[in-house]
Amino acid sequence: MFLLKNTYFLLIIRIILSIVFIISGIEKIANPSEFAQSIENYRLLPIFSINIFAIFLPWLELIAGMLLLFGIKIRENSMLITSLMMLFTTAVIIAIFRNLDIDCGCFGTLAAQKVGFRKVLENSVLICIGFILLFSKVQSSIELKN
Amino acid sequence: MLKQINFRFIFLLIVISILLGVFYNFLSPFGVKFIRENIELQYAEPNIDNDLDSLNSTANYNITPPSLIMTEAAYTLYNSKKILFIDARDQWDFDESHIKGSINIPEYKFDMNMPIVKALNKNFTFIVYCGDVECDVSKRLAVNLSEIGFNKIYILEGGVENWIANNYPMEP
Repeated sequence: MFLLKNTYFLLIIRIILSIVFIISGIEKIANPSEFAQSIENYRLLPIFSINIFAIFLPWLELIAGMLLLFGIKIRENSMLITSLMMLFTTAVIIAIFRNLDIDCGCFGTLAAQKVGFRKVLENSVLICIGFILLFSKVQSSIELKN
Repeated sequence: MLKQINFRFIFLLIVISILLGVFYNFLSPFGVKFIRENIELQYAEPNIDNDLDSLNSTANYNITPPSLIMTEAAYTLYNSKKILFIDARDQWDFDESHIKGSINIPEYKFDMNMPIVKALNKNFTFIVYCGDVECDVSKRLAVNLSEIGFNKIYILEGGVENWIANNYPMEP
């Protein structure tokens, strides 16, 4: 419990989560066709809608990651990032149960990773970090006025 | 807890992401179409084995999209020894067992500059396969190869599962 209130611990995990999403976002923005193919591999969305998600999701990851890194609206960005991670992890779990032999599409072409329980475990750690930031009494460095 | 979260900010972030994504996609040379189209595959015509000699010896500048090939027809080509099978699964599945004589190009890490891809003759005939009828990696690898100039690519329908069911040669 001490760790959850420790400013430095919260700062480190915030940086880790931010960097993961920034790198992920940049890679997918640089290779939208590969990311679109990764989304199609999961066979969860209608074909016609896949490119739309491939176009805007990486930007959402990038912007949320950068705002989180700079300590802006920490709770909101933590909630957004955690929600995205839960969504991605759900897709990975569904792919596992459907025995899909596919790349997870997590970091675009930077690091090929197949869907599997290892990926679920990695994502679960990031989800935990997101929840810690969401429920901790962390102060944003800049609070934008409503 | 939820009352402390500014959901309008989150909505604004999503809207900004959509606008930035659309704008960047429009300007980027690597942009994609907004509406994705499905890749329709055709079945290969029968008696294709009679054309193998001419296909493998001369350059065919008319690049044709990949087509599906039934297991029995693929076995006929296998016996002709004038084609090469490409396993699109990852290296661990390939090492466990694969169609005899096939090579491995894992689709998930395909790169046109891979040594094994650069070593292949683009005018040769290839049959790409993966695990089973649900597996899509062979289709995607076949499209990738076709886009970089491989002229004659077939996709084994039913994958290695059908091949094994017919007791066709496997290794190790």
